Amino acid sequence: MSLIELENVSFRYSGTSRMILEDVSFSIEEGEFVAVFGEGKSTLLMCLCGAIPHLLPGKFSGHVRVDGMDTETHKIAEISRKVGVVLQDPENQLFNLTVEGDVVFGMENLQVPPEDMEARMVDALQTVRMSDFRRRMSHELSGGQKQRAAIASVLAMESKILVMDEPTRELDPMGTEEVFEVLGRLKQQGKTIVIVENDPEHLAPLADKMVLLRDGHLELVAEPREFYRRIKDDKRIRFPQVTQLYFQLEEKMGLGSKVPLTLEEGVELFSRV
Amino acid sequence: MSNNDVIIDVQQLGHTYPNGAKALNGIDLQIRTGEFLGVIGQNGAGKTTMVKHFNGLLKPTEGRVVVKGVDTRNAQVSNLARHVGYVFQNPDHQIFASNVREEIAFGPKNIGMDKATIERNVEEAIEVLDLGGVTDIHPFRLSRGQRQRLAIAGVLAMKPEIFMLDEPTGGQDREQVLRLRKVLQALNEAGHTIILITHDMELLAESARRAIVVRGGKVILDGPPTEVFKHTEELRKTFLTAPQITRLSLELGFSMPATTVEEAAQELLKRSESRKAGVGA
Repeated sequence: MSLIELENVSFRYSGTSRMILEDVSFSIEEGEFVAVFGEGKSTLLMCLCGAIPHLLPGKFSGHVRVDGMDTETHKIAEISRKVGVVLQDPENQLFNLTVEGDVVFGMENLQVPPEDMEARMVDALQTVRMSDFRRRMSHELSGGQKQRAAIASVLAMESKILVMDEPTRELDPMGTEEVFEVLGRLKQQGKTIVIVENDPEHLAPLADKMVLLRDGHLELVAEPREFYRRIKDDKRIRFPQVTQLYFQLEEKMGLGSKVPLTLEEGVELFSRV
Repeated sequence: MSNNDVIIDVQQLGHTYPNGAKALNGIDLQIRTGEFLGVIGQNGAGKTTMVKHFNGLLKPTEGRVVVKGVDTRNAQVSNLARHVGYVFQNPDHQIFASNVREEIAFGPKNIGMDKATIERNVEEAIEVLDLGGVTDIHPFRLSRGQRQRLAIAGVLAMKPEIFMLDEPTGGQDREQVLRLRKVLQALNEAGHTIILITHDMELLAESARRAIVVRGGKVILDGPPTEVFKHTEELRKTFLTAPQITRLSLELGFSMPATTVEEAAQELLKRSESRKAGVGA
């Protein structure tokens, strides 16, 4: 059994007739890093964390199973023990005055025993490299620090799965770098991560799978090299520039079949030209 | 006015906020009519504070800023608004009307454009920013990406001589970024001066012809993007990285760093041709 299974998932919001998701089925294995693109991507994330069908009004059909739990028949409180959510704007996730307060807040919501909280907090702050900031006021932090604090508060809940909706959108390049460094570490630790994100250069080397939706339908699920090859003419998706360059020159120069994803792979391939 | 006229003249500009925070520290910068200027730097470097001096939203606490020959200390914001359009970083800061079409017409009406021109400009802005499907709905029902494009449309419809945009690509997919790039390039070709603050290095490299890097309230690098991107060390200290294609071209020893994938492709094709020719001879 896969850690996350979607089976014929469809959804439209109340008061609208347009299907945002239509008959979407695929699965995600434990420890995978999965990037989602296309129309309906944020709604898909909402289905994984139980916000759909529990909180957002609309017509839902099909099944989403998370670690064996059907999200429709289980309470959102149960689902949120398995699935942590990180949103675009960390401001929406920080409620308390201090970093420590925010990390504790999430655990309190899950009724973590108070004697376990300290150890979990130390661990979470260490993972996001924010140990020195635990007594700092949230409003004094930079954007990247705030987002890392938000991630720490989710990590402390020890959910197996992290769902992230453009976690670097509000961040500057330094903040983006910091957050992706944390994501790399989380992947190594075996967390399952499902992310909507626009930054192909950071995303491609981390992703195990990429998922493309078109008008709510599942169009493609593939590992990154195969994914980019299959959609090489699709203008909606941003590619790593070395990957884009490869597709422009592949035929003209006989570049071989391995699609480069990173700067290093690009340098290796094109220096032989 | 010839194309080489300085349209914004920034002299020793300093700005200290009322709380004592020094945001700008001695900026000297001349922007000429028809330039396409990209402004990069981390959040908090002073980029937004700097450009808010160009339309008079902020007044210098040291030095001066002269826009179209007028010292901004002696100019009203409403007067400057006729010449300098500004798209805020957060689109919700500039939404006033109850539907998209009215929202776009708000700025042009405000600066007293005539009805026929307003109508024409509004239709054009709707078209080029892909808002045709949503003209009659309330701005707050739009997606974040649509609201961002709406904010751009509202300023675009004023056809300002100087068009400033602060992080306009938040929440836009690649197709919309390409669309915006075309809009800006067309405006620029028609003679408008463009000032673009962005973290999107690819967009900057592909569109701007001059780039400045702001750090600690100062301009630390200034030149064509290809020149600026050669300063790898300086950029790294500012936690900025050139687009991947530029870094690739530097690693491959291009004499002129590439700013676009097309440029890199051409150079590599040329290399492979000359190698083949070499082998043949």
